[in-house]
Amino acid sequence: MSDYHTPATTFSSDSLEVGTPVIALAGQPNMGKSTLFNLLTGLNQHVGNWPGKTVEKREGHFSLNGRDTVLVDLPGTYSLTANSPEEVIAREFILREKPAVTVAVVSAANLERSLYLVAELAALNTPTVVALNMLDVAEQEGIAVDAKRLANQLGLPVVPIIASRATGVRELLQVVEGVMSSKQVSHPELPRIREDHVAILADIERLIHPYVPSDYPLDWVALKLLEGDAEVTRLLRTRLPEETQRLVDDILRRHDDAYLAVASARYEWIGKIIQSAVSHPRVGQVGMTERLDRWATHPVFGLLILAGVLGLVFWLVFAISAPIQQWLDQAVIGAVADNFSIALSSAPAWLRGLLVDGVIGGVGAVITFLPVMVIFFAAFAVLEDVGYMARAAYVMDNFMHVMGLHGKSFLPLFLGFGCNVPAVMGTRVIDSWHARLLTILIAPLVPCTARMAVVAFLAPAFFGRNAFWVTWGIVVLSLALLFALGAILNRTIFKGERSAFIMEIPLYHTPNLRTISILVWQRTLSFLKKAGTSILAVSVVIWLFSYLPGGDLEASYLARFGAFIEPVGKWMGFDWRLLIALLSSFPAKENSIATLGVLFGSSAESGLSAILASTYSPATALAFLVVSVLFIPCAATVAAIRQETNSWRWVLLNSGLMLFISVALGIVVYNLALLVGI
Amino acid sequence: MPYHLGFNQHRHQNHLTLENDRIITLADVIAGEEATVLAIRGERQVNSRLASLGLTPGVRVEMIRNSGHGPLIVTVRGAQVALGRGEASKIEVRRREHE
Repeated sequence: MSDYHTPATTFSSDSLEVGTPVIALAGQPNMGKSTLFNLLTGLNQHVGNWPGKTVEKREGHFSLNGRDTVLVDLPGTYSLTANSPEEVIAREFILREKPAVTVAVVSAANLERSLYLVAELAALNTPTVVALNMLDVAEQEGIAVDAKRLANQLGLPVVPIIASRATGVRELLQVVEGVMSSKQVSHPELPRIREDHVAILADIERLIHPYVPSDYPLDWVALKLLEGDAEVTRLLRTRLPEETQRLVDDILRRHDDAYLAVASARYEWIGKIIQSAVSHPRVGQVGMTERLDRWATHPVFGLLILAGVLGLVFWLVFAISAPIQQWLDQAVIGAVADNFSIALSSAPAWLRGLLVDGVIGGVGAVITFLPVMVIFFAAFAVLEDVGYMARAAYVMDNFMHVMGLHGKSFLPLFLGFGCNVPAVMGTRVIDSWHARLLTILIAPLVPCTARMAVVAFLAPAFFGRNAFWVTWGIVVLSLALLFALGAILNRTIFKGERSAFIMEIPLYHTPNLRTISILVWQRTLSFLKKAGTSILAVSVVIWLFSYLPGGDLEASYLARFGAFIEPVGKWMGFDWRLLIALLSSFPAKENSIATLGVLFGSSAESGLSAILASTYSPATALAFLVVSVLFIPCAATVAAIRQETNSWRWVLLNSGLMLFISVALGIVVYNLALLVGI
Repeated sequence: MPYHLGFNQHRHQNHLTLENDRIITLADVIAGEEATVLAIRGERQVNSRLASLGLTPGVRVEMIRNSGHGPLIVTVRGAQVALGRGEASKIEVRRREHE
């Protein structure tokens, strides 16, 4: 597997100034780690990528006893074995950057599992403070945890907190500060390995001792070797002399199930701790999660609930955003464009065109889509935060198997209905690389709001009362193609690849407004940056081609290109104008309407639909809708695919496939429509 | 607490995994039933991920959802975990009678 880590990786970043203490925040997923991070740093945080990885890095500042302190949010992982880039990043950060304190967030509602990571962290010799979170959720599920006993048993300071209600945070910071100033590392009695493997561990340690880098605790390296950790195995391979390597390999081969002895020892250690610190005062009580999941994960009702949730999300998005969007488009963007035109009336025509049509047109396209994005992101973030998304992934797992994918791939695809850009980025939740890549390649087939806007404008003009069925048919067609393409790719390029579906189903909890707002804010910001820059750039370039050489659109390079490819268009019933409109949808999908407006000298508000309806046949219109929805993804999506796959090869494959599918379907739909006399 | 059960025993108890001449895996456990994990026979990396989520030999699990096809949900070490049928069928278990 994995070549995602080179041992030489450094983590230094601009914000890590010399002398500023660094605190790391570690924890398994669903432990409320992000809530605590947001609580401490507020908006004083920066989201980027870990160097050379497509793993999100969140870093922020906060004041600890009046002193500026950096808080680094380590990726949420269940363990610190190199099964994923996240795990490697988390442990390398602790080993190399040596944070002053590592705060391990554990859930009182799920202590047994969450202490597993603490067992791993403590082995890294980092000063650790345990934040015992989610006491409210635990209580709700009928679980009581004695923090004092837990601390005694663990040999580490434990501070009870409820991050979602900002309770206990001051105490947590006091303890962190205390550990920082005392510079004492508590040495808890650590789990090592089950009795029957102790001698083997000792043998390994004796062999590798002289060759272990100074940053790495010997015990830890030996355990990771026995656990079959790919990174540690590789690291030692570069350092051990041949003879020693042979001896080590020999031991490892004879004990290839040793990883179970290591994991079991950790759970035995945890078991003893839990026995004295956790009690279930209300045994047999049915928790809220269990009651809700009787419906939400039911094989039939679960799907119905999911369908209902999706319907509600779309309804909300369109009901709330449509009027805002219209207002932005007319009152804001339109007014700005008009004012610019007037102000620039004495400027050369090319400058006016560039600014008004190129720049403002491009920026306007981005801005009018903001309300849709924000509402969609908010709905998604709420579903995510309450814990529903894991249920959605679970009930969709069967369907995703058609494409050799599993439930987790459903989440980014769902996000794609809002915008394909966050969908491509959202594939990061998928564990295996090939499943992730396959999901990225099919994600642009999810019809995003921008493309639906084109359909929503054109369908009523041509099909009147049947517009609803045409729209519905186009969505179903896109999704059917998505499944078909996924299934085909799975049997060709990704043949034989299969990934495991292993996913925690977290407890439900009330959504936290702060967490959701920050999530929405960050996703929106990242959409604006990505979409803003690529849409603007491409919008300006397309404008240039529509202007040069003479300033007349009908004689421009763009029109000449349209005429050049017109023969292909004929098979779909398109003239050069429809082809140009299609090409202009590359910067932003909804641009095609504006382009048609320019070409027909009429805006969307003043009868463009009537002119179009009298110019083109319904068969042509139907083909145009199909091709528009399935065409090469927009510039922002292409840029996102490039970034996430780190290769142009997959971008080209994706664009090529989409081009082929859209044109092929356009020809088929046009001729079928003629055949049945539409 | 189930932690002391298991690993040392499971080597001698392979016959217990047979029921009607067939190995019982987690995929065969019906919703509402409890079982003890005896061995995990998947790929190394998958096993390691399962272990970090608490699925190790000797652990007691309770089946929450198993509709006979598709993924299933088990409670393990106080947390719910969804598994694909493929993964579940590589986890050998012994059914636990209700005491």
